Amino acid sequence: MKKTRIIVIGLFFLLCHLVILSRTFQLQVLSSETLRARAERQQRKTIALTPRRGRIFDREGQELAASVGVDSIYAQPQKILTRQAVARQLSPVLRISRKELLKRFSSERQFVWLSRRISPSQSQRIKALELNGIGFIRENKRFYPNRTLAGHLLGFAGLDSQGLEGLELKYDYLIKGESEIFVAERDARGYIISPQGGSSLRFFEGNDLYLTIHKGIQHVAEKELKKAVLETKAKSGTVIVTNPHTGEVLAMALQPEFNPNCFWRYQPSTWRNRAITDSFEPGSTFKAFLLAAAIEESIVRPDDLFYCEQGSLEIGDNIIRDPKEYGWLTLKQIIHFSSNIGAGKIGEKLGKEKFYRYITAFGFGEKTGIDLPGEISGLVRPLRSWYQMTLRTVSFGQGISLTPIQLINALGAIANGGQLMRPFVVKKVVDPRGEIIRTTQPSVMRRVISPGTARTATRILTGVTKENGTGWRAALEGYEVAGKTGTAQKADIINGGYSEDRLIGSFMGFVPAEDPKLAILVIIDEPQENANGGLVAAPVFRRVAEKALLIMGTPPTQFVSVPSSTQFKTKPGVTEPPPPLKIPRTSSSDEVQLPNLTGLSLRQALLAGQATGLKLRISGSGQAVEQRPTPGTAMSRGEECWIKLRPRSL
Amino acid sequence: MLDRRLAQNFDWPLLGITLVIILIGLLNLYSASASFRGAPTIFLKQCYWLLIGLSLMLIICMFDYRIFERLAYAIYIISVLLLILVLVMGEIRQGAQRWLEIGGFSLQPSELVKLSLVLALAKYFQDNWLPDGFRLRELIFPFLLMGIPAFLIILQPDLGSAVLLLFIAFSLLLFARIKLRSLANLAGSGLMVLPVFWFFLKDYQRRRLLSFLDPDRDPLGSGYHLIQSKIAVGSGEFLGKRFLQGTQTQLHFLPEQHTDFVFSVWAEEWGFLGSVIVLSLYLFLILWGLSIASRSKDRFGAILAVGISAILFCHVAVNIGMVVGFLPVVGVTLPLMSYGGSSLIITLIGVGLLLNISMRRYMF
Repeated sequence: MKKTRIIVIGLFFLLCHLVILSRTFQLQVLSSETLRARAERQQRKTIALTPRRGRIFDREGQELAASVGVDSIYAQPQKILTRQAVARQLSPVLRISRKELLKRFSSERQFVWLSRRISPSQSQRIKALELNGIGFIRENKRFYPNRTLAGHLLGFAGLDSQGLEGLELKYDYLIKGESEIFVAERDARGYIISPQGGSSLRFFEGNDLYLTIHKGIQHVAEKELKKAVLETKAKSGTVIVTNPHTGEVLAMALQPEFNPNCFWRYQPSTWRNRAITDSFEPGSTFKAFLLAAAIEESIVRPDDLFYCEQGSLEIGDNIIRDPKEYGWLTLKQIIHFSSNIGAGKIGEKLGKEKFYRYITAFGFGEKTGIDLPGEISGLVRPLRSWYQMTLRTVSFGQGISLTPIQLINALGAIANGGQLMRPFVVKKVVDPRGEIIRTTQPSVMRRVISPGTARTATRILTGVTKENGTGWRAALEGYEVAGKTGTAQKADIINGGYSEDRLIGSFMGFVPAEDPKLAILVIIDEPQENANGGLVAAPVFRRVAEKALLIMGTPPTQFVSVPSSTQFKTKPGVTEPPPPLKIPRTSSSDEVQLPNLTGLSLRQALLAGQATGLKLRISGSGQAVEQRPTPGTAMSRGEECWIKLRPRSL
Repeated sequence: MLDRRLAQNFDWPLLGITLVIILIGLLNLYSASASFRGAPTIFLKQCYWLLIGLSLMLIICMFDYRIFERLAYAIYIISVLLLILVLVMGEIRQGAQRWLEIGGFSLQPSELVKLSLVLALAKYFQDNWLPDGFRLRELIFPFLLMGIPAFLIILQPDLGSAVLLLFIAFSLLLFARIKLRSLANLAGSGLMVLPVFWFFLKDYQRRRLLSFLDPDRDPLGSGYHLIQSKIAVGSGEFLGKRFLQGTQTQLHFLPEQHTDFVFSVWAEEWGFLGSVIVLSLYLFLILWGLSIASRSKDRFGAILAVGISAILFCHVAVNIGMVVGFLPVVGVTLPLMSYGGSSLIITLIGVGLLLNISMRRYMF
């Protein structure tokens, strides 16, 4: 009897146990997955950190924007033992008031930033204090090693690695990297247990950008522009250098400049890349497109004569003036002397429908599609509101507004034989493993004029930089320059009409004219002295073009010396250039003996290279001091030889 | 006192299984308290109590258990007095007055009273044995024996322990043969009392009951314990997160993880496999206790053994039932594994009594 009762009780116990066991089976085996997920969810605290932002390089791999690791400091208020003492110690190092620190320490939150991206010395000093509840997280800070260089192009990124301006904004999605998630274990009260959380750190670095920009050319463009803007006390200025064949932008310089490392210290208006975001009335440079349209339509020939009304033409209430009193001028002369009256007459002959068609074909009135943010389309009056006067004024660049990038891009179409290219700034995008994920191929938007027209227009435009042309100050020794000056009156917003003293002096051109390597636009906005495109902008063109051609190693195409009226003549006191080279030739036409190049100027060396058919690789500037291989080595045409140059000592 | 026969009949399996559970308990307590500030203190304190408990266990083995037959009522009265004392001058922790501070040692009389009640009931049934079974009238005294301490415990308030007393008394009643009709009456009146009972509950007790029925209605409040415990057990999965790697435990998501919820620590770190092992060990211990009852030479010993087994069973079932979300949250410890001197020492005394009964089963 006793036994059965005990067995009954025992069975009851056993049953209860089995019930409990089945319950643990249900929890730990059947629904374990959801419960584990729930555990992980409540144990994890994520803090979004900024990923390492991709770098930006110029076309030759020079770093324009970099990311450096710096510490950010945070507090876990509940872990701080003595808030007063900690605040007292941190306040002087972080330069945050004690009151503000205490306010943050009293936060209910488990994690508060104290200061993002502090300097290494700050972080070292704080680490030495060994404070409880104060921690560090490694973050990336944007750094622009060349300071103001290409600032308008690059733009800048904000504190949380968000692109705010320029390329940083346009390509943010490619260089930002995926948000890095910092996973920390978090206990029931929300304390973060392991801020250094090792394995749970996720890294997604951003991609690198390689630009079409050449740092050297950019530097030259900026330097020369700045000089000109300072000398003429101008309000602002723009220089754009492109490769007309591809649409690549080699340099884009703006004044006033700003340093993206501390962009907040500058007026927001200086951040703007006015080469694409602002439009202006171009003035006489626009005649180049009138010229191209008129030739393409075969309504004029270069030597056709137009009467230029002795410098003043009255049409209704308006008077068109020329700088000088011209009588009969050929088409060429109208361009060379930049006659407004003459241009107006060509425009009339062309007719507004045709002119309008070419204006839009050259890309005016629409965005170029350059890969920079904030581009505007400018303003081309719709055809129905063109009046007699409109056609005449647009013919010399008044009553139409366009952006600098549109202007240089349209000139590129004349330079490259008639095709309008899409301008671009980013050449390729490379992922963190070094694999190219995107390259930009030059893209033709449309053919605007025939190659023949382009050739004719170019020939006429080269006259602008000849002795009698308005742009003779743009002429270069050894290279033929095609271009056009422009001096535009700015629209007077207050009084209506055009201002007499607020002018924009500009020059656009390409070089070498017969096979252009560079197209350059120079705009000087409101110069206080010499407000004339030929005076203020053409010299900037010359200096930028000269150095850019050297940098690119473009050999001179012309061997006639430039008129002595220009300032190129070697200054007295400087050592005389060595006598002209005698280039020894070996019997076979494909073989040459390497001449001695040391002592030569770069230009002379390039000439020698052309004559022998050797390719030159050049480093430095000034006078050749070293060469490889040694002089006298037999080489075949097309082979490469290296020379090193050093500035001439005085 | 300990002659060769006693040594020969010593219940090694019982001692062995107890020691295995104790070792598992220590290991687990080490992990449960590893992330605490006073981690070593908790572990070391448990070790001291373990030494005291094991010594008491061995001392109890030396005397014939029938000595407790004579002392049963006295021990019972002392226990009840301690319960009264706890209400008068007890230490209040977490809203309940359960502990007595005696010379640096916190005694929880409600733990002691379970054993005292078993002793007293064993004594009563031994003295007033009715071979045909008890009717309600003859059970008035046992009811009083159970009712007085249960009432005092409810006043603390400690509903869990009070219900446990009821269970223990009831299982002894079953063993002592209650008449079927009386049982039916008892059950019927119990069911009628149940709704009235609701009004006597404290607010927090009602909340606990409600949140047991639907823990997600207030996940950060009263349902928190249940949810966190279930998450801990479940996230342990089949093989567990390994020793000291239980994230729920080490990040303190578990409330009372070293005392009442110590099993969830084990289940999290050792998984379903670990749960099966521990549950089997307890089952073995309890069934072994019952087998001692069946083999005991006298009625007192048998009832005592059944009572002790019932105490162990109730604790294990209610505690683990609570941890896995079967039962509402009540302050019931897991014998030999929960941190706490009273529970550990009383349990070891109980095991000592079992050993005592077992080794003297052939002696007259």
